Amino acid sequence: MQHCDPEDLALLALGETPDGVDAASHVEHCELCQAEVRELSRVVTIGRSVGIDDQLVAPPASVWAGIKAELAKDAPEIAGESAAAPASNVIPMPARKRRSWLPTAVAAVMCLVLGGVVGGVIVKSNEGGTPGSPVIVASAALEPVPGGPDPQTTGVAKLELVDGEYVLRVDASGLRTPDGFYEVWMMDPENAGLIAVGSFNANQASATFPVPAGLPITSFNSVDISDEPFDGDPGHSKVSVLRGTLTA
Amino acid sequence: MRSAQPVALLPRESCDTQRVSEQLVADLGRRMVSGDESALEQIYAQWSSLVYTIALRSVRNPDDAADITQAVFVSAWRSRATFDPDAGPISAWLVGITRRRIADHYRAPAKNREFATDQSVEAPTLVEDSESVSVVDRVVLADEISRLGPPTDQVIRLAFYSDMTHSQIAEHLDVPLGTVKTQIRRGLSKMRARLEVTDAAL
Ligand SMILES: [Zn+2]
Repeated sequence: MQHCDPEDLALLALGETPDGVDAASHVEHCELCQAEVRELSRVVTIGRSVGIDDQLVAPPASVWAGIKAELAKDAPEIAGESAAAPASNVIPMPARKRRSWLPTAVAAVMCLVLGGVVGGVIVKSNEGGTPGSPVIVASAALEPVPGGPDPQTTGVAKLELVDGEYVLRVDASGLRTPDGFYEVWMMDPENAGLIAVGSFNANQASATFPVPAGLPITSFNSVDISDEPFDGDPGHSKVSVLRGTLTA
Repeated sequence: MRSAQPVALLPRESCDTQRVSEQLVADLGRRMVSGDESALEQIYAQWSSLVYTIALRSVRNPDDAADITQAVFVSAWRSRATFDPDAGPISAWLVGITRRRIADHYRAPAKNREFATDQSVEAPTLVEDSESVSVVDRVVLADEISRLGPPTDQVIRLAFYSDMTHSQIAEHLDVPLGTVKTQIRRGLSKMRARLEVTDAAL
């Protein structure tokens, strides 16, 4: 028996009538397709019941601080640490606590294994080690897009983790004056996904942009800067200036 | 945006983004189990909103929800050895811990002498609401929709919350009909899978 196209079953679950006239009548007599529609209908029912209250809300920043403080109590005191008093006069306590949150050799090994595969959730290093300094998760060299309007300039994008939230830092100085304005995008090249994270001023050397919570950063691993006309169209102008792929 | 494909920058053609992404999330779990504290910060960055929102919708008090969220991630770290990457994803494991910390929250007053011990039976808002759709299912789906990424999330939102049919959505977004159908199917399948793994981690 020829079963329904899975895409038609999804439409039936939404309460639509698919174009294929036979789909509905087939499902009536086919338990397999019926079960599929039933399962997808449950998803639709729950999905449609999602209200504004159910939209995700980020916890206050104090929560992450509280977690760190509570877990710091678990950390075994390293013998002799208090003996290193002169050093700890130089490095304030928070810095040392912070350091226990830095990536370990495990992360370093993971970087070797997976580094360069895809911009990912792999911490590289926190060179400075100063309190509150961002952890660089991935970075991208931004290169001029071939045939683009500015073949000379380059830049760097870094995905940073600051107090439990991702931000994208873009450094690009010497960009020529745009025809419109520069917009920074994160792209999912595999699925042609695209989100704008903010606009970038040609005369600023550096800017940071919050990354929307929940954005699948492992697939949105391409950073693009485009020249956008002031036409009110929120879509990409297709005039890309710089681009690069985030890698760990 | 054909030029959007940075194919040359990807080292291997066999490197399917979706698989790599899943693998990296699985690696987060393994790194956490092995005691890598930086993994916890990344897990927090990915899923603290999910945990907090479930708590907030259940106990309806921001301070209590913040306390529960803190307790969830502290428990997650301390009991990291119990996380089994083969049993399900981290998000589902965290939701399971969240349910237990919310239950603890309702149980806590029972420790006061004035209250009978069966106070704990009342964990009201965690269970089904009037529409018999649980808070957890709704928030998990809201989270999954936001993780579908464009353009799937947009297509799903229009299919769910507008009166448009799929062909009207195609017209509205100026994309082929087949693309909309594919995105709807992809979105619903991913949401079903997410509900399945979350329920399995109960
Ligand atoms: Zn069938």
